[in-house]
Amino acid sequence: MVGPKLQFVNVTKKFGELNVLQNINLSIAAGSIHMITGENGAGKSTLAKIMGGICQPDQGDLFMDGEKVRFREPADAQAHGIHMVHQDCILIEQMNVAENLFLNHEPRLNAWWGRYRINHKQLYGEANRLLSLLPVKIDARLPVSKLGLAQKRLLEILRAYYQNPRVLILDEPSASLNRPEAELLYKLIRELQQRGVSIVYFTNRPEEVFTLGEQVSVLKDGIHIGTFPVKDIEYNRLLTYFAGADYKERYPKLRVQRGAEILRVEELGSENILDGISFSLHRGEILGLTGSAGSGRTNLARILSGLGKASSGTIFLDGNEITFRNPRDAIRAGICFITEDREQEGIFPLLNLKENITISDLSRLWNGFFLNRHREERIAEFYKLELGITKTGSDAKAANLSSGMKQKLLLARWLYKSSRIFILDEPTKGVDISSKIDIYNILNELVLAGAAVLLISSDLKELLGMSDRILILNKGRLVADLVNTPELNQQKLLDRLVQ
Amino acid sequence: MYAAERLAKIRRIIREKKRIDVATLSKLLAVSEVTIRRDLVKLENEGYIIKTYGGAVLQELVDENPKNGPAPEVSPNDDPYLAEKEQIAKIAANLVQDDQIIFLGPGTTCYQIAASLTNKRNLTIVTNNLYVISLLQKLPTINVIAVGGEVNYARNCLVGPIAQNCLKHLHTNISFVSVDGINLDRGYTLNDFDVLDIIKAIQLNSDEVVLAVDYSKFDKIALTSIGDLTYFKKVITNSRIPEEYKNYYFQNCIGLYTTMEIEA
Repeated sequence: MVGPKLQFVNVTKKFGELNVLQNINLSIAAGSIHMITGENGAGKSTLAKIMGGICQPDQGDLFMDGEKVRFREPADAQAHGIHMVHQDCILIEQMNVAENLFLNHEPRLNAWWGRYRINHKQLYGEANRLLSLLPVKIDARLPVSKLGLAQKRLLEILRAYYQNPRVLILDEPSASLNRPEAELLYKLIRELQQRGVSIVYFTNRPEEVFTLGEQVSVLKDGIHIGTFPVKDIEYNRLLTYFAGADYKERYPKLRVQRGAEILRVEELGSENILDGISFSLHRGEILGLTGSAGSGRTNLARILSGLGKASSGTIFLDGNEITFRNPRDAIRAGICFITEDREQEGIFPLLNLKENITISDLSRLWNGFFLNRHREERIAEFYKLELGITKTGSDAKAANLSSGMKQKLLLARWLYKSSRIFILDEPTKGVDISSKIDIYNILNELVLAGAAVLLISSDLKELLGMSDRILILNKGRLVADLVNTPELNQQKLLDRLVQ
Repeated sequence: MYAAERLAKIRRIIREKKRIDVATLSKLLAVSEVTIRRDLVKLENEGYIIKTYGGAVLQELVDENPKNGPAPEVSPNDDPYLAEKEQIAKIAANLVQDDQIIFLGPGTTCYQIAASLTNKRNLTIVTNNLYVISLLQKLPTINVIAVGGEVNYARNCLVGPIAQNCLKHLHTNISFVSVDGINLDRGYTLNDFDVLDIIKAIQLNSDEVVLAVDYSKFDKIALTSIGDLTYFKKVITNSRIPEEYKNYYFQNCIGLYTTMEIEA
């Protein structure tokens, strides 16, 4: 069976005043791997959501094999054989691999009373059959919490495949994976294509287009620039579609007097990922760091914050050599790491706002016997006002906040701890504009107070707008350490990113 | 100085200033920053202050509601938005480099900016603001050029054709001005035609004109319009302004600098 032909005709989508997609005419050939690419904010995710039935277009139609279809909800899309794998992981950590694979579709003992009971033998049998498609071995009985991000991604794709999709939509599946991990993903995707599934692959990484794709469509500012066979398009031409205006002026950049060196890394390496990384970070400085999938940038952040181990090289703090055995050592040294994965590794969803802030330093609340809850309330109130966290009370559970609020809450936590070095991994990803501006201004406030910031981001405009210097990682090596002069632009960064 | 004496002094300073940073306290009391931090921990334990990033804020301030209502033109020292304006001034000072020529427009926000420029080197300040002129008298390191003109006593500044003519002959690197009303539909508005003419004159001869206003001016409309919200390319204000403005500025490529501050 070969997947259907999909067509968008004059599809337009607005959010408020903002035109997210404008008159998209796009067709996706049956049985192919079709890449849809464009920079962040080009409208990729919205297009994916329209295909998956999560969003409805304001105007325009979707055709499958020449027949007009209308998806009111994801179930409608699924009824037509379109399944989507989201950017964020939605597996249940506490359940095991097989249970996650068949969640809500578990095989039953029989059609009668047994339908209320799960046929475990069949469950694991089926699971092992599915797992054999994977290029790596995963035990069906392993709890998902024990899996790495790459394995989770593979599992999610497999779970979608179990639903017998005709079209599989993947929204940036390789985000935060390193190169070898992404290779596993590509293998699985090619395997599924062999089995007759059409793949629509959304990515913001131009190099992926060439590894995986047959066709590529480029979106820019909500407009479909064009669709090309991958073999006919040149790398540089694709890059020119990515680089647009830089908009440096929209970022509230303050040039603060650069202070003393606070952190220096020499010849840092970690097995298979990082190799010979050297750089320094000064007080009052925002140091940008970027790199594509598999560049090792998250790995570097984790080593600097005591979460990962380096296999070679040295780290100097205030000129003294230092080793972090664990994150606690790093926190004590004044380093905080605010992860990209706010949901899983950042906030404590079941704790309330004030507990989420004060947890970084309970000693300030400790009176010898109890925690001073009254003071905790005052402190939370202060940061809520200061950072504009939310209008609700500080007893609200952190789980219910928006992305932007969660990010500000994490900043508040480490401001409260008086950290000196802030390592921020994609701090504005998925964050609304207004919170974004607040976050940029909090960065200003930090450097004014003499802190140092390592800003890790794939948003090149943001890096150009806010950083004093920009580091570029490529396949585990530091390929550039650039002073952010007015002449530096996205094109120059992209050239270094992919050389 | 004994510890108890020092603590009492810190208490008095914070009571007066409402919020303060460690570096300033350390300078004022001539002890190390480490000592100050230790003292602040004590005061926080007493419930007197809340430690902030690099400083402290009076606990009462978190409890109090700030005063509401319109801001009449008042003398700089009993301004209800003093704290907000001081913070705006701190950011403004960081946009100014040594050796620059700057213009400060009418209003108390610009007065606060002048007060925060004391540690810059070799500045030349052009101004029509009488508060600023009298303040800078105490700071002999800054070159001051006052424009002439009619005195507008309500605004305590110099205006009119003479002032405009004077500004025509001067070139400035960066200028700071304020407006009376900011509204998404009606743009920037002023209560005073004279001040409007001054801002228009400065636009012609300045590399960069920065709007410095406290949050109370947002969602207000004054008498006469000077332009839409893209008229100034940089805006400094407080973070509590309505979200729509933050979105608008970002989408229209206007740099928006905000301060962290206490909100009701």
